[in-house]
Amino acid sequence: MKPLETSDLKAAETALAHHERANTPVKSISNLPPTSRQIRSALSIAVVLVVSYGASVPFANVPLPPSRGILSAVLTLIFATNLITAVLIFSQSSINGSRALLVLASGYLFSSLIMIPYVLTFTGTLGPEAVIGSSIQTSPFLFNIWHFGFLTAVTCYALTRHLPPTAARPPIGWSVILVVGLICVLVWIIIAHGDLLPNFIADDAKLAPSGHYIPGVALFLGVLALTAVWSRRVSVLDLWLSLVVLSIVLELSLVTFFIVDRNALGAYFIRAYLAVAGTLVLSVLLSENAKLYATIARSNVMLQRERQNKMMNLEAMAASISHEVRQPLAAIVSNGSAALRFLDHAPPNLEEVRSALTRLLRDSHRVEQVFDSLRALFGKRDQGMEPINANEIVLEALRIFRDELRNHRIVARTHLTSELLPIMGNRGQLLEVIINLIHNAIEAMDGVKADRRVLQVKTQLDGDSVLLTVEDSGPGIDPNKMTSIFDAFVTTKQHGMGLGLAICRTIVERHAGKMFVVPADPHGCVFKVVLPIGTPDLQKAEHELEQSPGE
Amino acid sequence: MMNPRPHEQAIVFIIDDDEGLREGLAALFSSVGLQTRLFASAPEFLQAKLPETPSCLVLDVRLPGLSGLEFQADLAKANIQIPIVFMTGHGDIPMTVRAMKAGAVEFLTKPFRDQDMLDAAQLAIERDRGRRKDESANRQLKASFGTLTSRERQIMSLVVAGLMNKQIAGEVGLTEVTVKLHRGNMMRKMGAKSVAELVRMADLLGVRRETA
Repeated sequence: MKPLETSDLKAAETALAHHERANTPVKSISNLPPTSRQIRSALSIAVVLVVSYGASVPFANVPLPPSRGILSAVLTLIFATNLITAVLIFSQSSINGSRALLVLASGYLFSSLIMIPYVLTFTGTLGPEAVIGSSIQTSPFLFNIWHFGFLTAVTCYALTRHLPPTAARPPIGWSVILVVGLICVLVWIIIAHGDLLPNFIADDAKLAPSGHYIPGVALFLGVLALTAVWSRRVSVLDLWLSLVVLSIVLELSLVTFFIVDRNALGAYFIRAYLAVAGTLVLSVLLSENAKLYATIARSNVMLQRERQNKMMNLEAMAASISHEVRQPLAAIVSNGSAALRFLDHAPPNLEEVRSALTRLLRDSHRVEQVFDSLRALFGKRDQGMEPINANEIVLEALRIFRDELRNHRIVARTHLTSELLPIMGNRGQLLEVIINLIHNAIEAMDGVKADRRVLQVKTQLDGDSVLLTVEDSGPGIDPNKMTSIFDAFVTTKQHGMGLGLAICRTIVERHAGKMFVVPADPHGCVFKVVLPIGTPDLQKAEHELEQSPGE
Repeated sequence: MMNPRPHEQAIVFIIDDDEGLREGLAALFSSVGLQTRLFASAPEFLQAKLPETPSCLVLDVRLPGLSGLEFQADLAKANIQIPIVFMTGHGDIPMTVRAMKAGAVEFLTKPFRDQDMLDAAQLAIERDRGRRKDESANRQLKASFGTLTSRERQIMSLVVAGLMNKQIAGEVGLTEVTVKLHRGNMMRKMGAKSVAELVRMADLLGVRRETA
């Protein structure tokens, strides 16, 4: 026999997570379609933006005193909001495996980080002179580069968002390095080759021709980005991103076509648009995240309730069984007692005794019928047999207990062999067996020190069977109880009916398997489940035989 | 142990949707000489004509349609005063409390001990018998009172108010001899052997001294 392939639980889980990511995308604002209410509010904001733009155009060049304070505040705002937005979108891309989101997040990161050199090009930020870039052209250069960078990222996002997500983790680290590197290169260009920059500002502090047409090119890119994002928009994110791009487009068109003086009213509008652009996606991301969190919290509660319901159902079932049995039992008591009393009559009323005893027998059969119909009920519910990979159900069970294992500080180790042959069985029932065993193991280890709690789950091929073991490092089982542990109503727990293992054994035996327990070394116990490898043809034939009796 | 008088044969009414249990209970009661009548549901019981004999009801809490407790409330509303012995498949304490508060005789969990069931039914029947006796005495009293003339009623109210014959004579404007005559007739018609007994009857009938 080949040595067991040792696979770490974490690695197995990562593989599972990737599998899931590809099949069931996680709900987030990057893939949820916008509701009609969201579309309405986005449209109304767009209208406000456009109307205020129209109103601002005639006054764009009304001279106002320059205000470094407001500009600095807006730039600080953009730095902070875009940085947070970038982090949030990076994490979204990591969850969804979406490259498009990675690009968008990089755009936001760029937009945030470029604020640092941008502010440093102002005079008065740190001492009377500008920290970097001696020329008056430096700030407008960075302003334009910032727009180009961000709009390019948005356009790339819009063009790639329909691509399927990749299974591998998106290279977030590399993206961050790239963005930071890009900004360093820009700073270097400004410092080393500041004289090569185009003239945005003429000598009279008004905008030079380049100050208009370079933003014009950015404006063109902005319109392109807006079209790209708006057309075929699918998600809440797309909707609000369109608004962001719209406010940038409006801002750029002010610079391109209308503003002559840097210190005019128009410049204040620009700052307002920038502030809007900077905060929109963040606020939506935050509020949507809060909503999604609430949904998740709710569904978590539902999940728990469902689990409890399962327990409740068991109790309800037990109650209804006991009711069904009590009924004929009461009749048996009545008839038996009546028979005794008729015997005591002088002379004994044998006719009545006979009929009371006849009824008593009939009622005894009724008790039997209750159990027969119960068995039939269970039999019917879980008849479906299918080929099952034991490793899959082990991993599924471990996943169900992931939080519980962590809460109980239990180290879970798996040794799952890769050369398993499928067993024929009922998936739900076999899963129930493993869940029961793991649950017992967790409870058993509650009494031992936290650093000695180890759960080991193994699968291996053993001749014609699959051997599945669940080992705990708990105190082990009292040797006197070792043989009776699988009997119904035998329990070592304080609260428990002692039905779990009895049910497990029934399930395993129905799968033509065996189940037993041995002490673990040095302490704890090992539950072993042996399940025969499926021979589907044979079982199918048997099944057909059952289906057509009498032929 | 059971010694029912033949002229008022007690009957146990059994309502349970389970035929086997109904028959078992019938056999049990019949083995101690109690008559039974069986019903599968509450409406069936209500439609039946109930004989005027001491009786009780053995009732499952879970009935098809309305529950035993609801049925108990309905009976009380319809002023059908029959003592009830409840049976239940589960020992549900709040249910027990409710039933007992509403006047149930006993609440037995299936499967019950035979003697418990018999004792409960016996107690219920005794309770019903007592109630019926009181009721019939009451009816008789009313009938006797109905035979009194208005003068005799007047004198009865004065007697129970504690007046002497002489005072009564003064009150109603008759001679003392006539009052004695009326009083004698009244006591005989009412079947009262003493003034004390008459006072008790007057209390039951609600006879008060007329404020003349």
